[in-house]
Amino acid sequence: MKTESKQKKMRFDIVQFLNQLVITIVVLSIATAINSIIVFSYEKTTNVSGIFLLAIIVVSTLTGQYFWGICSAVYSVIATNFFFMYPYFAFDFSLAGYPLTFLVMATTSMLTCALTVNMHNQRDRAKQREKMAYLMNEMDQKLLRADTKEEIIRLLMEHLHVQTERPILYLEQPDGEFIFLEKKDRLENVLEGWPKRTIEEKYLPEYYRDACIALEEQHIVNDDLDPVKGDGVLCIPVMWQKKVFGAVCIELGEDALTEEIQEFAQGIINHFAIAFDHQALRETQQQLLMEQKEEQIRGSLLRSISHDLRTPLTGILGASASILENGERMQPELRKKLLQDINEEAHWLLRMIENVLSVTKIGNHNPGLKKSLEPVEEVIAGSVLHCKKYYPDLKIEIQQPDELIMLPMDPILIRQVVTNLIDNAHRHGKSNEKIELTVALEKDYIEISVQDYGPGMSAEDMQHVFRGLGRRKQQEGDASRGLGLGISICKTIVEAHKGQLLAENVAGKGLKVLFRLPLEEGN
Amino acid sequence: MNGNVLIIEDEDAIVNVLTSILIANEYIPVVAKDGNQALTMLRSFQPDVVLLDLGLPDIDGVDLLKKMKQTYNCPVLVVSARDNEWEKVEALDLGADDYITKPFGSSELLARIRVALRNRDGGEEKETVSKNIYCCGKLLVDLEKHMVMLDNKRIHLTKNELRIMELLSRNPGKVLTYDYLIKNIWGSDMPENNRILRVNMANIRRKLEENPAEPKYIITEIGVGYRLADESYFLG
Repeated sequence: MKTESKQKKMRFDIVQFLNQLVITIVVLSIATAINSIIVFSYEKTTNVSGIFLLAIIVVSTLTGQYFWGICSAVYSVIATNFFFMYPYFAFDFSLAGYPLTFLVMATTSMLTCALTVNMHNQRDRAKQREKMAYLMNEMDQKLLRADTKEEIIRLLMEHLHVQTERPILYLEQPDGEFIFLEKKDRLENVLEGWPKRTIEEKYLPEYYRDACIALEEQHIVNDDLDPVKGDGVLCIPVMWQKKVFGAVCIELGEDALTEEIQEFAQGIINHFAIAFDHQALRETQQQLLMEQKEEQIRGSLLRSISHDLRTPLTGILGASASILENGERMQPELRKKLLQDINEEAHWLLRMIENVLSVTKIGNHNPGLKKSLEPVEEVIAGSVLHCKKYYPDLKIEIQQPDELIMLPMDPILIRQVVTNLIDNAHRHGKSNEKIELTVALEKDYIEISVQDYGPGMSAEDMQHVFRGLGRRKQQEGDASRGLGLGISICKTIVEAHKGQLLAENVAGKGLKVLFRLPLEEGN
Repeated sequence: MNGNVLIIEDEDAIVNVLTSILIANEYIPVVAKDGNQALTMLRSFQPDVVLLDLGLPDIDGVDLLKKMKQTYNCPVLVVSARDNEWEKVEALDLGADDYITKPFGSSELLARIRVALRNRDGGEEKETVSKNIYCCGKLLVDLEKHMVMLDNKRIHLTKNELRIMELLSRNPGKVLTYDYLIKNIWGSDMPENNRILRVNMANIRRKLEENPAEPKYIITEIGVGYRLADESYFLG
């Protein structure tokens, strides 16, 4: 590996070498020419060494290498002796004081050369550092805006790809799906569809195993894949504080990475590891927040339920107690009335409990949502049948498309929604008017609406009821009880089906509550 | 007397309600409070119909149902809570004759018991109409002639629609699960068959029901299956 990289460096140098050779020859030729003009036209030799010194500085600056500076220095000393000192065009080292001149000139030239080259190198390094710092900064800015893991991975791939100009592979889990960016791939094309590739695919890069090893053993794998061709790969685990988020493989191909680029790549990867860590933290935090919110909703639901249950229970207890105590002396009509009350209140409690049960089915992230493909008309018929058990005198007019609409849903829960809406409409509408239930098939959703002929709902109440579980502060007797709970349960169910629940007052009629369910999965 | 009824139920309040309804309607009720008691009583009492609550203290109701079906053959009516559709389906598939959901009215309970008893008797003795004809309201299914009449007019059904109607008519008032219907009509239970069954049922509704939105004859038990109305359960 190392010898190869040296070979590569040598070959790389030939172009540069020729380039610098040309620069050196040109600069020294110009210096020699100027000196010739001065010496042979004006017969003054005082400026010769000065001009050569200048030439050495220029060469050192342009090439940035000791080698060329020293060459120029040697040439300058020899040229001074050969061209511009008597005897012209011949060497004469016997001149008095010449060795000293030679020594002074050689030392000065070398020192100058060393200084210039040093400066040159430092400037180069500073520039590179500045550039990298700038890139890192830019990258960090983008990372700050990245919310999802996918976005972070995308940025990581993008930066490594641009910086190294090599094929990049990213692997999240050992033997899992991977993302592969080829050298010639256009970044946008590859990342647009987020093409995760599986191990089964035939273009599985040969160093996939190395990536798995880097991921599992948590250290850098530098694999010499094919010594003849000179292919190599560098697999770096993306890790931060002993947590491993993935592994990046940089395919080296024929050219090794320069040390700077490699360090830079490592730096990028470290930054991304931190970003992944932050992202994971953020996600946990959001999860906690959501759970907290759910807990809050459940809490207020429970309060609301307990409140709603207490009223009918009081009625049942009171009525049954008075029958038990004074049953014999009581007038038959009164006793029947009390028994009827008990019966009605018990029915009401039952409906309440059914609602509460539905909500427990939804719970945390809808594990209880048992979706199956159901005909909408059957669910609606089920609701109507259900309601007619409670209200034998229910007047309802159903309008639905003649075609059969099948939707994936939890039929028991959706029946609960329709039942609640009919129940509400019946209790709030005028008893002599019918309830209108309409099913409409739209382009990408189905809309089921229940319209009553009643007083409608005030804007304030609507906000309370539809925002969540807020009850009106002033309780309006029995007629309104349970409305908030019933509707908020409908809302929970509909939203668990990715639908929405809406309400409006229709002029000349009353309140219209509707819900929409998205059409999906081959409808 | 109409028959012997074994009530397997551990809650006193419900036992009281059930026995009073049954006695008032001339049945002889006997109560078993747990699974072991139930198995003994099954042998000694030889009930005509069993009311089984699935939530028992000592044994899982479904396991008890399996044991009962192995030792003694009589109709079993499962009494279940409202929120467990899959439990009902499981019980039905294991051989329960029908289910009734808590809480229930007395008329509903008596209707189900009548259906269960009739199914046990094979419907020969008590029914005045022949075994091969189902009749309810304006609907008539002739199982011998393979035809369906509505209001004395013959209704044209496709082959599968007719087979579904015949299957339902042989078990009037009894719920037939989706799986049972699919297996008996198509022979396999591929997932796509569920869709085909629903489409067929929708077509039958459109042909037989006056108002398909509020069917009178073919009642959907959501999440469980379909039931063909019979005289005692007819809402029309």
